Parts: sequence; C-alpha cells; structure tokens
Amino acid sequence: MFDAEMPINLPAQYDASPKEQRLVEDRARLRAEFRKEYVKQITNPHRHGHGGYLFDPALQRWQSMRAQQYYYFKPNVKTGLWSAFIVFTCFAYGKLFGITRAAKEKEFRTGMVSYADREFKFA
Amino acid sequence: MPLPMLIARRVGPRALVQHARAISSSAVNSAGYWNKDWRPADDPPATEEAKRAAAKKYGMIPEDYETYKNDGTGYGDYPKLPIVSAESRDPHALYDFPELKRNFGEPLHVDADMYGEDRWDRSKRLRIPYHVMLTWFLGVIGITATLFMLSEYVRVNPTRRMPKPLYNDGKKHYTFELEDVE
Repeated sequence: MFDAEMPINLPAQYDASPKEQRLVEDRARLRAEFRKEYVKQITNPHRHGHGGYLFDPALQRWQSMRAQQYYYFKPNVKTGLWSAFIVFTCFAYGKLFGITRAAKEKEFRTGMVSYADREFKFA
Repeated sequence: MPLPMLIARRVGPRALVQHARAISSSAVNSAGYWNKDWRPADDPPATEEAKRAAAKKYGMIPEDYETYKNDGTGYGDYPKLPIVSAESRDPHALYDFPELKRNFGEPLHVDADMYGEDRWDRSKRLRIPYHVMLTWFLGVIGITATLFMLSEYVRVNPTRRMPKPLYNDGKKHYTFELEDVE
C-alpha cells in the first residue's frame, strides 16, 4: 500500500474513446502525485511533532469556502425575489395564523360558543 | 471543525511547511492557515488560462473543472463536482482516508458534509423512486387528514345524548307494597 509510486498503467479499455482514455490517464497521474505526497507524509518517522496533522489543501479550501460563503452572495433580481418570497411566506403564515386565532378568541370571549360545543371536550 | 480531528495524522512541522509550499501557490504563514489565502476567488475564471490555472489549483484536470453559475448563488471559482455520496463510493477501493472514502488532495463537494457516510446517500439508486414515494405519502396522509378534518363537522354515526332518567312520565316505576303471595 505504501509504494513510492502508484502504478498508472491501466488495463486497456476497448470501449472508451482515445480522448476518454487520455482523461483517465490524466486523472490517474494527478492521483499518483497526490498519493506520493501522502505516503511521504505518512511514513515520515519524524512526524510526532507538536500539533502536527496531515494538512490537506483540498480540505482547507473547502473549509475556507464554507467560512466565507456570505461573501459570495450577490444581491440581484433573482436572489432578491427569492429572499423576498421566503420572508413574505413567513410573515404571511404568521399573519394568517394570527387572524384565525383572533377570530376564534373573539368568539370565545363574546360567549358565542356553548359549553357543550367547547373544544377538546374529550381530552 | 471536526473533520481535521477525524483525519489527524501527525507529521513534523517542517514537513508541514515544505509540503504547503510545494502544493500551494500563495504565501503561507506557518503560524496558521488564513481563510483569505485559501478561499475561492470572487468570480469564476473567464479566460482559458485562468480556467487551467484554477483547475490546477484545485487539483483537477481542466476537462473536469466547471463552476457554479455566477448569479449570486454561486461560490466563486470553487468547482462544481458531481454528487457522489460517500456511501455510494466503491467499498473495495483503497482510499487514503478510508473512514471518509476519500483520497488526499481530492476536491470536496460544496455540500460534502451532507453527503458523508453518516448522512444522505443521494447517489443511491432507489428501489422506489422519489416521486412514487411522495405520491403514496401524500395520498395516505392526505386522505387521513381530510377524513379527520371533515369529521369535525360531519358525523357518520351520530350518537345522541340520552334523556335524563327523571321518571316523571306518569308511569308507576316502583311501589312499596309487597306482592301478594298466595
């Protein structure tokens, strides 16, 4: 597993076009480079340094992207409408809820609902 | 972030700095990794050379590299990767980080924390497709809810209250005289 070089001689692919084969080889070459670096780090006998962990640049880039997601938002018509729709839905639902509740409360307070017809009678 | 703890391997500080210098192109302060150095660029690359440079930066081949649309909902020049959940990846392949089914230097999807082994497996081929599941769910829940809500106003077998047994209908229900015994 800890070979210095990962072999990239792939089995011949008879159903893939030459372009696809080239792409597969390119990807394997990249992967072999990263694998070499990984093995070099893992098999380093002086690796018991303080606070040392295997730094993965891909992971760091992903973390930085997630930390700075706010700065990639651009306010324009599409995002503005989407945000307005979400906010409007929240407020509309709350208002609707309030209106129905107020009507019911008015009914209760003015004595329009008899004791026999009370809610949750069987609770 | 919990992910670095998951993949904590211990290397010497010198190897760390050398490795960072070899891989990254920006100036890296060995005292820390700052977001401003590692965040994606503000806009996706426009020219061909910029695209090739961005692909090289992210460790991908230029043919694989594409970005999200730059309409305000994007992520700069961060690549748009195909969604392959960790659970659906080849279980028999050898990975550098086997718990994550991931290799060193492989670019992470934007929603990678959602597609981990303990979360959603989006790339699974389902036995029952989503639209069938949704139809069944809405049908059953919808019918149940409709019946429940309609039954507030309509009773199918209405039960009426019994009249109170006040025994004031004039009939004689009880007498204190003993029955004549012959």
